[in-house]
Amino acid sequence: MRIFVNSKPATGHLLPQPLLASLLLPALLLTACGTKFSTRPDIEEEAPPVQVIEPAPPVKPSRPAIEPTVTAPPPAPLQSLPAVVSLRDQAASASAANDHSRAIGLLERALRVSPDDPQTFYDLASSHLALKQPQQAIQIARRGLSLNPTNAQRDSLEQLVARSEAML
Amino acid sequence: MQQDKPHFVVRYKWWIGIAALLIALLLLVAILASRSMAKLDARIQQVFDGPKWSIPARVFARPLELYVGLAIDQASVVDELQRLSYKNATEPQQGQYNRQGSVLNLHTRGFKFADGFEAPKPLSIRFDGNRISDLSDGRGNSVAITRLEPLVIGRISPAQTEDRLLIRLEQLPGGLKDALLAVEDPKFYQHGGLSIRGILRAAWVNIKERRFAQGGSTLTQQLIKNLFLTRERSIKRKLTEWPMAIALERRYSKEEILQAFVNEVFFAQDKSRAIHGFGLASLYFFDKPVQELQTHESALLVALLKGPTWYNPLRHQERALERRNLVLRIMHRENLLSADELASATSQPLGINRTSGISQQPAYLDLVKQQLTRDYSTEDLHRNGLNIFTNFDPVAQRKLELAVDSAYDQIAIEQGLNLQALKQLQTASVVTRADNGEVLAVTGGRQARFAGFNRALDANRQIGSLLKPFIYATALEQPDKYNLASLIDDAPVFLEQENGEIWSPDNYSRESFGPVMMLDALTYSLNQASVNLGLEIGVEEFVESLKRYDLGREIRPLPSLLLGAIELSVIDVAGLYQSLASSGFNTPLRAIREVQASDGQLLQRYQFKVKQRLDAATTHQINYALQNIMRAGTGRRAYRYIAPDVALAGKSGTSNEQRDGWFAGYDGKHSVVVWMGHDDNTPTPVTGSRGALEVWARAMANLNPSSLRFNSPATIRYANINPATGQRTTADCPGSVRLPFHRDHEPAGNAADLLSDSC
Repeated sequence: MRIFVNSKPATGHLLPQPLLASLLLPALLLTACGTKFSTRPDIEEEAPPVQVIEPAPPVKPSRPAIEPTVTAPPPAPLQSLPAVVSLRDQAASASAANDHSRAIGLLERALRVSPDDPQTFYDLASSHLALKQPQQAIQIARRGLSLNPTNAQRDSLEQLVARSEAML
Repeated sequence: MQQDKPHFVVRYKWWIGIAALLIALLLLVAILASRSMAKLDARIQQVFDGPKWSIPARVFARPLELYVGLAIDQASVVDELQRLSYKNATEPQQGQYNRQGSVLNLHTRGFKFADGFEAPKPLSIRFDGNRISDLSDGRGNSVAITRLEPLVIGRISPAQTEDRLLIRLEQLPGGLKDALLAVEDPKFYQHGGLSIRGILRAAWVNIKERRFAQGGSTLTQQLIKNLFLTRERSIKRKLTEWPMAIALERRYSKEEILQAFVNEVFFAQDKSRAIHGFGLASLYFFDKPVQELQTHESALLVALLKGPTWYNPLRHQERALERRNLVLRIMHRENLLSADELASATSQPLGINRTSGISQQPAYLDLVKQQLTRDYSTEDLHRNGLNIFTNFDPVAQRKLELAVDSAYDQIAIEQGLNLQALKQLQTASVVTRADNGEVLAVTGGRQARFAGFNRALDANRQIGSLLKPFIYATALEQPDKYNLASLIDDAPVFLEQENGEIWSPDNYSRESFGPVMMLDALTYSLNQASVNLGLEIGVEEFVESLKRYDLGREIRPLPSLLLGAIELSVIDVAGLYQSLASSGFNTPLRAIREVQASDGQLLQRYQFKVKQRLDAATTHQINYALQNIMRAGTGRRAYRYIAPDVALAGKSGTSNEQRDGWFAGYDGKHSVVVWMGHDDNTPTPVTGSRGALEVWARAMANLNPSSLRFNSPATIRYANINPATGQRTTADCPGSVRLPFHRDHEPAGNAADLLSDSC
């Protein structure tokens, strides 16, 4: 079987999509003659989804595989860059001196260097909590929780959320 | 007779008259002076102790942070150094660098940041490909992280203005201060504000030339004249100037007066901008900070004081050179230079370097101003010498501009259009950091450096299908009802509008595809399926769910909204997509990091703020679909420029009759939004997935893309699906697709589907 629905040449690595075509073809046949009645110019878009359809290849689906990047929490914290460690240390000194605002500035720099380090989010949330900003602390801790923390990091972030919620 | 000899008074009546007049004048001066001395003193204090000048706010780019592990190549760091006017030298001193193979040696200038002083220091950076592999201070001690000083990208000032860069006296290079005094006021440290010799000399010249030609001024008098008095040359002004100079000297030290002088003095007129003070003059003429001036350059600045216009080194090179060499000879006479130094300095050319100057970024500055005017009055911005630290990234800006230029060439070729005609087509774009919403680069038109109508901020245009992901997100927030495998009907829909007309949108292909999975409907941007889904959710409910994005405008719940009949600017769209780019956590777009007063005090920080707008499961599913768009749908052409293993997410948009073409999307680091259209809103020759995508993909490729963060949250389970039924099937079933679902709402397994031999 060789059906030309749209003869736009396939570009690059793009493969034919027999499955989608098989799904769309009946619908297309059913409705194709009933769709030309709009008075309004259509909105959108690019080439229709159906490419030149070849006989179904015997093997795997042609849909590109989209895989999640990480699925399990790492057993130990990922090693932070020395730059991040240095900035977090400076922030800790600032916090110890009660200068939480400066600590926040330093931690934001650390986040620019490594935007998905749960430890930095924990420190940042703690500084906001110290400044009596529990709402911001909760949101930042939640962001940290979304970044695949270790179990220990997850526990401390969740505790921080609980402490912040208690303050609300 | 007695009459033969006229009376003394009669005989000398003219002389006595003149003497009496002089005495009276002096008395008058003395009375005036003593009466107004207290007043003058108060006036002087008021000006001298306060901010002496109106100084326009100065806007800085982000400082380049250097640390081991930073993904940057050597050429980009050298670019940054050159933008900061670092010079190549074998033994780098402050403001100089030297490259030796994969190692870059430099000596930073240091900078007072809001969170602390970054001291000047020697640095040695080793590169390993596109990454910094070692960073040390030149003595072998490793440096964890340090910053270069930030680049000035513009000023915020009224049209007519004085500009200056305040410096402290000790910042003047050795010899400049002595040269200044030797030439302008040799007795500065001895006199009390006035120099009798100077006044006599000036008087002699004035009498000789029969006009008021010369002031004979000390530096103190010149300062008084410039700070307090009008520029006209009159006796009256002199009469005020003298007592004021004396009063100033009584109250303030010589160093304070000299410091004010070096910041006050006028050097040049640059269009509407008046260049004042040695700090700014050094940047203006030599493109380097005053500390780094060499002898002949210092001498030129001193030479200009006598007549900045007459000796203008940009216009009158010979005159300027002659006067500069005179200054050098005076320096030699005063033992400030040896004969050798004199010879060598005299042999130097003027050394004017106006090549780079301030790199103006009009489009980005518009955004900065917009953000600032929420918090500061215009007067504060124009007067108080604020330092504004922004997130502007010159590297990203350059890459974006290159992408725009090259995309036009490519579109013209591919679409068979005349390039000149195509250039009528406008474009605007924004690059933000995906994780925190910092705005890195903006173009406001096809010609990025052209100041004018800023389309990125001020053009509100229909966004078309860019809104679709938010319809699907609203659906996916009801995981009991919707998932990516849910079948929705891509079938014609007829709606009666307010005016009684029937509205029935088509798909782009003018075909309908029947029941399709939500994933496919979004991937191929099917209009009818999307409208049907939106109607099923309810347009009112959809409008309600859009409120969380703070679009700052009334949205009418009309069905056409489902196809993006809403007008937004590029920056609005960037804000909307930021929530998706940062995994469902909105971080408001920010151009400014901090605002610092001229004395270095931190006035305001624009903090990183986050707010979760979409739950983790919904975000994950939407980001799955948006990746599918890039792999198989309307965004796939991006992979012509980007390696296939890089995970990207994005969505195209095209409004009615292709009046607007859009592409919005992100990778792991950057979120980019591009618009194309005509200013007069006439149809364009390209769709969003041709025109805007071409710019988007090139920009993304230039920005060294890295894969999207796509962590699977605990609330997500993956399952194999038969696309024809939207039901679960087995992994080995041909054509099955593995999709993410909310863990509590995986689709049921159809018994037949789960038998692998039946599918």
